Amino acid sequence: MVTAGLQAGRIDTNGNSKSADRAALFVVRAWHEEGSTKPLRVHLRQTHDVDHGFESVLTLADIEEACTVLRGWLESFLAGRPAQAAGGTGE
Amino acid sequence: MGSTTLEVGARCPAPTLELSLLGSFELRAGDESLGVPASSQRLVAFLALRRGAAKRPQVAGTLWPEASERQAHGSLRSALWRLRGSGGDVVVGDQLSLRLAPEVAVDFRMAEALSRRLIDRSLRPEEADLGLASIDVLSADLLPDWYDDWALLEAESWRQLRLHALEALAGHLADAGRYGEALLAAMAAVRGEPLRESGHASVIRVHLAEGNHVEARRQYGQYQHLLKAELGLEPTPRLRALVTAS
Repeated sequence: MVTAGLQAGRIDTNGNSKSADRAALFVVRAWHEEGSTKPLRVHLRQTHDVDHGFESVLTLADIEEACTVLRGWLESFLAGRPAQAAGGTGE
Repeated sequence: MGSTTLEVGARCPAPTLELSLLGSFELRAGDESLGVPASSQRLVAFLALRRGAAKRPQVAGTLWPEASERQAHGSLRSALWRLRGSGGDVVVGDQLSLRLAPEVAVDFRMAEALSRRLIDRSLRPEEADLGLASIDVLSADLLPDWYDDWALLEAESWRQLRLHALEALAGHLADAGRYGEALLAAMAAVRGEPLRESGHASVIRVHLAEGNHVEARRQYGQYQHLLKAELGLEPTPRLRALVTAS
């Protein structure tokens, strides 16, 4: 599993770790389907606010498509757009 | 190691403590669910997922990564202090390190052991391992909706283990002629990851073992349809051979 997160946190007065408003997370899980004509499987989960859970989940079989989704997610994160605008279909 | 032993949360001669990390976090003393504050939950879960003791700086730095060292240690002390109100001896340690109290039974640890008994061919699963209770345990995610890096990594590792264990369980049950339960285990593996071919292969094998060739082909067709719709791909020749040979 590969994780990539842009996490910003703060500590409240009680010592609890709190997510900042724009704590984002993109989780990539990849596996190999032996014998398939395209054996790569890439399962992507993404959110721009972990307080609301994952906003988009999808599975791909192509490296370039996965990279495109990651790029879109980063761009939309910087632009303040919802994670689902990053592309792909949610489950 | 320091000289003094700290008993955190010591209040009463507590009954056996049970910590649940599968499905959701819950700490129980007997039938009573103990309320644990959120920051203390993270501490307890982190220690439960570790094997053995953890140095205090590592605990503080992992659980409060954005805080300064001083703040993180303060948060750790606060989390430990708050545990005292939860009514059980959950965490033990000294001035240098902390660990989960050895008498705390953790459902995740038991589920891991169950998985290994099912998967390891050199081990023989116990009779109690083969049943609906195991399917329930192996169908549960570890701390879903927790987004800390350390929790996500453990959750993904558990996910892989439990899917393999469900498939192995389906095989054991089918070998024992318990096809209904075998099918439930195999279907749970499919639900865990619908695009994973080995889960569908498990379902197909159970159908074939029971002599339900039509059901086996139906399962193949469902997977073929799903794979085509989602990824534009066909199942592997190996899976196709499984149903065409029947």
